[in-house]
Amino acid sequence: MKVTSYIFVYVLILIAVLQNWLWLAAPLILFFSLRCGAASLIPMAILLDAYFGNYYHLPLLSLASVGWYCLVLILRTRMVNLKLS
Amino acid sequence: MKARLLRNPNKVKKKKRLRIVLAAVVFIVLGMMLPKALSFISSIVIYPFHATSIWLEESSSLIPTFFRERTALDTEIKELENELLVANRADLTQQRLFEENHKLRGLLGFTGEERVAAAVIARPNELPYDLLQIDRGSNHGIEVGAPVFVGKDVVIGLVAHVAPDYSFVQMVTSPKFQASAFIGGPNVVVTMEGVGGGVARVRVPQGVPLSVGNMVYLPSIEPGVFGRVSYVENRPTQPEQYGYISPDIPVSSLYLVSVGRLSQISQSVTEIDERILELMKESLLVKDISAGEVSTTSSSTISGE
Repeated sequence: MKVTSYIFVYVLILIAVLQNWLWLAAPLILFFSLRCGAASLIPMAILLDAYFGNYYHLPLLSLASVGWYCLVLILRTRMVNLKLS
Repeated sequence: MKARLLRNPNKVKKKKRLRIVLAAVVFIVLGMMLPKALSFISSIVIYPFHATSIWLEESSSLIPTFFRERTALDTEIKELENELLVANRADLTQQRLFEENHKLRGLLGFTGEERVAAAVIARPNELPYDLLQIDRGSNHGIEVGAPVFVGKDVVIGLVAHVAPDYSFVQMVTSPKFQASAFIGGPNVVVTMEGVGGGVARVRVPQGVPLSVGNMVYLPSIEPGVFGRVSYVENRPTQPEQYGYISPDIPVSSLYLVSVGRLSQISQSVTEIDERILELMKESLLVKDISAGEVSTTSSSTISGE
């Protein structure tokens, strides 16, 4: 059930980005990243960049997703430390 | 080996994260080297989501239509609310200006002009050209040349003919009717000429910032708001630009008008001087005198005979 709901959120993020519903995509991305990690968002960002033809220039979304992954790692570590303390 | 891994779980995690980042970067670099291949793969993978997105945007089914119409209605509501706010503020300012104007008129001893209310009983196309017939005449105090208003201050024409019980009003938009007009915005005084069909036109040199919505006043009538510029014809190859003006209220929907007094039309000193000169010129002219015919003969001599 949990896996299904996370897959549902993942698909919803993809649809929200395609529809330019950034007001929906941003909180979902934050929720998904904190719950499941941002590693699975990197392939989505690569696919989206390729879909919009950004690989002919600079794939900003893909690079941003790698950066976001690193940031979420730091945030999650700090949150874990906060919980332990 | 297992023991080493168990002793260094953090190191394992760090290695895993580093591998993920490196793999992502390598994939991105490969993608930049082969953009077409990656685009092709992406179009296949994202196709279902693309189809869903197109379905939401263009389908005439119930759910997409509901979402689209709701979004459009929300946007329209916000725009209308903004316009209403602006209009309310403008109304407040207008109210304040009216009251201030009234107070100032009171200070100057101006008690208000007399007007006669009249109903429009015939209009274009029942009458030729831009003429109106009203149900008030000389018995009710209507004078030839008096200004005719719609509402409080919008002037539409002058009384052209007065009978005991009715009058004809020649509209300012009658063909070849000319009046001096002041255009707010560029703040220029121009000659306005009627074009017919409820439309008047002003001619303004190129370079004057004439735009749709500029207010047009007739300064020789008190008060003399005429209308707004509704269309600007501006061709760069021509030395002049034309502004077409139509009153806010269409001619066909005119029902009640008010007729002012001749005193509301101010005449400039120059006009009065010219009129006096014309009268003086005519004072020595005696009409209806017929002198007998004087025959004239002409003779010519040919020199050198």
